[in-house]
Amino acid sequence: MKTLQRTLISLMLLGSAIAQATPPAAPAGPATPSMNNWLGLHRLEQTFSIIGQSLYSYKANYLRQVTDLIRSIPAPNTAAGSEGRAFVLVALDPFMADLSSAYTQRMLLPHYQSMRAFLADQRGRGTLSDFPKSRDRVREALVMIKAALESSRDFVNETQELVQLRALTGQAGRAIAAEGDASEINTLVAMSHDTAARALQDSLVARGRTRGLGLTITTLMEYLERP
Amino acid sequence: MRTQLIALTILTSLSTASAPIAAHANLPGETQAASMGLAELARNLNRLIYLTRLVEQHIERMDLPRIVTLRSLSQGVIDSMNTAGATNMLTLQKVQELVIGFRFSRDLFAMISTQKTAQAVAEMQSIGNQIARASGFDQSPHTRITASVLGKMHELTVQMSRLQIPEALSQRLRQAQPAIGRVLSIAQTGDHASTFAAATDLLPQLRALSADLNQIASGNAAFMTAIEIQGLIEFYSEFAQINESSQGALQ
Repeated sequence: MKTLQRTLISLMLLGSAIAQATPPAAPAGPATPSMNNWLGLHRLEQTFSIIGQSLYSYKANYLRQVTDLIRSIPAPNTAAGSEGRAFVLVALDPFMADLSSAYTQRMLLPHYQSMRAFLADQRGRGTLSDFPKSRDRVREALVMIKAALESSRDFVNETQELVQLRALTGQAGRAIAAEGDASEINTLVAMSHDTAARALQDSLVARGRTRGLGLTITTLMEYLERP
Repeated sequence: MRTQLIALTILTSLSTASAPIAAHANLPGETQAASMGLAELARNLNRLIYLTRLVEQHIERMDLPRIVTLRSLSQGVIDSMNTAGATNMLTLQKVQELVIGFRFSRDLFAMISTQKTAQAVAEMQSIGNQIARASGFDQSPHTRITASVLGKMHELTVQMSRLQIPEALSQRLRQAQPAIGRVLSIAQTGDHASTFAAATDLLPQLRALSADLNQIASGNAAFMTAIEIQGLIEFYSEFAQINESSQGALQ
């Protein structure tokens, strides 16, 4: 009995000593690489799937398509894999920022933000403009634009413009996937500047339900426009 | 004498047209069933409040006010049942407000349903439908007094035109029937602006019958029917606040 008591006391003292020796938690700021973040990156698809369960169906549908895109990117322990994932996470910023349910904000977004910050730090890319324009980035941008347009279709009056823009995005995506020339991208970007297409994007941003999707489309179109 | 009879007819019409549903609770042998219904209503309302709290965590800011309102309407019914009583008119009014809240939330429910909340949202809708059916407010969020009065009036005019009455009156009654039918079809959706507008047009035409109806002597078989038609016209004019100077397009 006395032995047990002594062991317990020793354990308590040891715990107390460890607690005192542990430096205070670092102030909140850019995420630091941790085992959790590495594991999180490998489970990004599962994380998005869990987030999707708490979203309205049209937003869950968008995230599902983004998850499929992530699955097509190389493994996260490669440079191409982490760069691709970083791009998708940064491009998702406006969409994620627009999720306002208490549960999503409290339980899901911190995890996404932590991984996004970790990847962005790791790649040294805080915004979309930090990512060099490459065939892979363009492909990812086009998939995300197309998915955002599809998920917004129930909320727009400018259906014709939406269908046209989506078709052009699909064509450009196929051309890029087939390693063809990038002229389709120029057509898409030019079309996005049309008055009608501009009105469509503005109305998506103005509507509460599609603000995040609209901002995603606008920022990715701006990215595609870069030389 | 004629005025007193008309007043009596109004009372009869009112008592048959708007007998409160809750009055059944006072019928012999039905007290237990009614109280069981009320207990179930209270249970459903509490469940509804619980579900709104559950769902609230998963809905976006722009949809929050609607869910909070549904909860507040449910709580309003419970509070009214506790303070005024389950069969009080105020409670019935609160139930109707809740039913209206649900009626105009169908799109909202379709929107806010997520994989996580689908079951809770479906249960909320199911409870809302049950309350609507049980309260009898499921057909329309509006009262249906115009439809009730005009339906009765249409029946009486048809009935009267078959009796031994002066040809001029019979002709006027037949002429009025299609107009009553038209307003009646609008009134089927409840008492709202377009119903009152149509009724305002119709009323002068019906009032114009009064001179002929007054000619029916008390010994005539059509006397009580004439009195009843006049009573309904008076009652409805007062209900819809349509005064005698209102000019109808049909006249």
